[in-house]
Formats: sequence, C-alpha cells, structure tokens
Amino acid sequence: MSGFNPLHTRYPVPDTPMVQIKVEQFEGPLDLLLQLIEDQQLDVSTMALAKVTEQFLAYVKNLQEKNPTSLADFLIIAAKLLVIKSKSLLPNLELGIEEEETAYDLTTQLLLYKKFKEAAKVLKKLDLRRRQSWTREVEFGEKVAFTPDPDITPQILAQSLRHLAAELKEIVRLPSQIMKEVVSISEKIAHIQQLIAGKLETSLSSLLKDAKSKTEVIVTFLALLELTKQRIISLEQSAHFQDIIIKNNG
Amino acid sequence: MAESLNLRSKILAILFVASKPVAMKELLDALEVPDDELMAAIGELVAQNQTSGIILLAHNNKLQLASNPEHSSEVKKFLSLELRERLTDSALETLAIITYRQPVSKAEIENIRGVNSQYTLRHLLIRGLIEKVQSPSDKRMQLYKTTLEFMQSLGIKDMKELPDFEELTKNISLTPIAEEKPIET
Repeated sequence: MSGFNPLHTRYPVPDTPMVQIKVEQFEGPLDLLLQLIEDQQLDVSTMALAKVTEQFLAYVKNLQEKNPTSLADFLIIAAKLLVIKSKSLLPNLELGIEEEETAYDLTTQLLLYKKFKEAAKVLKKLDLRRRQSWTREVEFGEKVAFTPDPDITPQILAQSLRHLAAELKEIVRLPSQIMKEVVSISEKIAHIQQLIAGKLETSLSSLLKDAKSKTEVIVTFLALLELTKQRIISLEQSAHFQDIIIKNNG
Repeated sequence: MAESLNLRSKILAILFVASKPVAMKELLDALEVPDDELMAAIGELVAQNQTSGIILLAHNNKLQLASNPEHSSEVKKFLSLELRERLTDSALETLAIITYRQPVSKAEIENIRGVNSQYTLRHLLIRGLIEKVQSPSDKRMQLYKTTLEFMQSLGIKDMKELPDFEELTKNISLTPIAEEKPIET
C-alpha cells in the first residue's frame, strides 16, 4: 500500500447511476447528500458519507451536462467526500489536519443544514395555511391632493402649460441616430461555415461582396483566421493582392 | 393599571395614523416614556392579537398595525385581492436560516445551504420578506433580517408563535457509533 495516493484513487462511476435523480429535485449538494443518506436509512455520519460517495459522484457527472452552473457547489462537496472516502478505506492513512477537519466539517455542515430544513418545514406549514394579514398603506396608498397657490389664475395656468408644451417639444426633438447592425465574429464564423458546408471552396471576394461596412470586412477576415486556426478551412493565395481562396477541410 | 391602558391607547393611536412601520425609537421619542414601560405595553398589545381584528405586528424593533390573518379570506374578498404566490423550497430554506440566525450574512447563509443564494436572496428582498442592514462591526458587510411583511405574508401574529430552534431540532444529532469502523467494499 505504500506510495498509494488516495487523492488519485478513482472510484468506479457507473454509466447508468444506480439511482435516477432529477436535477430540479434538490436545493443543492447538501440536500442531495441528505437524500442519499436517508434513502439508505443511515444516520448522518462520516461512514454514511463514505457509503454514498459513489452515488454522489455519479450524480455530479450527470450534472455536468444538464446543469453546469451549479456544478461548482457540488464539486466542493465532492472533494470533501473523496477525503472522507479515502480515510474510510484506509483507516491508517495519515491525513493532514486540514483533511481531518474536512470530514468533521462536512458532517456538522450537513447536520446544521438538516436542522434548517426542519425549520423550513415550519415556515412551509405556515405558508400552506394561506393566512395573510394586510396593512393599510399597502392597499389604499397615499392620498394625492392638489392644493394650488391661491394667487394662481387660469391665465397663469394656461401660460405655464404653453411654456411646458414648448419645453416638451425640445425634449421630443432628441438627436436621433440610426442603429447600425453589428455582426459579431461568432455570427460570421457560423455564417461562413454554413456557406462553405455546401461547396468545396469559395473566395474572400465573394464573401465580401455583400459586406455593408468596413467593420464587417474586418470581422469576416477575423472569422476566417479563427476558422483556419481551428483547421476547419484552409486559405490559399497565389500572389500578393490576389483573391484568397477558402477551402473546406471537412 | 390605568396608566398602562393609557400608554397602550397612545401607542395604538400613533400606529393607526402612521399606517407604515414605526421604529421603536420614534415611539419612544413621541411618547417620552421609559424603554421598559413601552416594551411592557407593546407586549400587552401583542398578547391581544389572537382575538382582535386589528393586530399589532412587532418585530426587529419595528411596529405596525395590520389585519388579523385569521380574517384572510374576508379581507381578501373585500379588497378583491389575490393571495401572494407560494414560496419555493429554496426561498423557505433561506428564509428559515434568516429567521433563526438574524441578522445573518450572505456568506453564512450560503455556507449553511451549500449553494449560491444570490438569486433567492434577491427574490426575498423584492418581495419585502427580508431586508438588508449594515453590520455594526463591519460597515462593508450587509446582514439580512426578516421584516414585518414577513409576518404578514405568513400570517404570523406574534414572533413567539415560531418554535424555538433548539427545541425544534433537538432530535437531529450525530450518531457517534458509526465514526470508527471502516466500511467494507
């Protein structure tokens, strides 16, 4: 066993997970862990955590495709689980203090989470009663009253209104500018790929035939460079300033 | 006794016209009574919440008069209102942490839940169920608290209705026996 590094151990991750778990069902990695442990009717302990590690990893693997945004949260817990699993497989393994704490931390973290899930149930029960109370301000709002200055005459009001109308005209006449259509490189790449998919080759001049602006010419050229880098197309030019021939590598 | 009745009715009078949450400090300034007398009078008023059509919501040093949640359906009908949407599980989970740990930081909430809670917190803020306050120890840090609207939304008449956290969770604990044995594979 000497020279065996537990952190490099690979646990068999079944291609089809033993338990089918829906992504939406869980509030997060701790919720998933709790469920896995409870499914096996285990109490929260490091041993229980070691037991469900494989299922957890299988789930995370699945998550990678379905919901990559929440992956980071799951990976943190997965790393902790692997430390615990290593320790349970190799009891004599000397782990650093930090790793030892990890195992302890995860069980306490899980317990605390479980407690708050219990508290959430209390709130849920209240929520389901559908009882609510209202305050006065919410429904009636502030009363808006119009109390004009006693000196105001209809003439003054009319004059103010005309003044306001004149000012509004200025505001309405804001400088206008026509929005230019912007073509991004990725759009251009997709476009070129689509164009070239049908035929074996095309040329730069034909690509630029419909270009509406200098920017579009530049973007087209950048897109060609990117596609060349990705080896999707190859470029040929027989002499300086000659047309560039674009060939489909696919 | 007459004096305490007097104080209670003064409190109600102010809260009635205020028609918005009133801070304890504002009441103290207006009524010019000692802190503990005011607290006692508020306690007495809250105790009457169970049987009154108008109740006194008192939470996090703020006070407001509201309708009794027991009359939800009648008030709703009168105002032609819809009840608010139900809370999602992640909202309830986050709300539970804030309820029992307040004032609490986002970091602590996320540590307990094990997930990024930015979105859920924003949702709760928009619905007015929680509010952000500055941490007294570190001005750069924001802490979250539940609001009077939280009480209204869940029909809580008195924060004492909520079970004690320790009491509620006392049966959730570690099982010590499982610690030592390695598992067979």
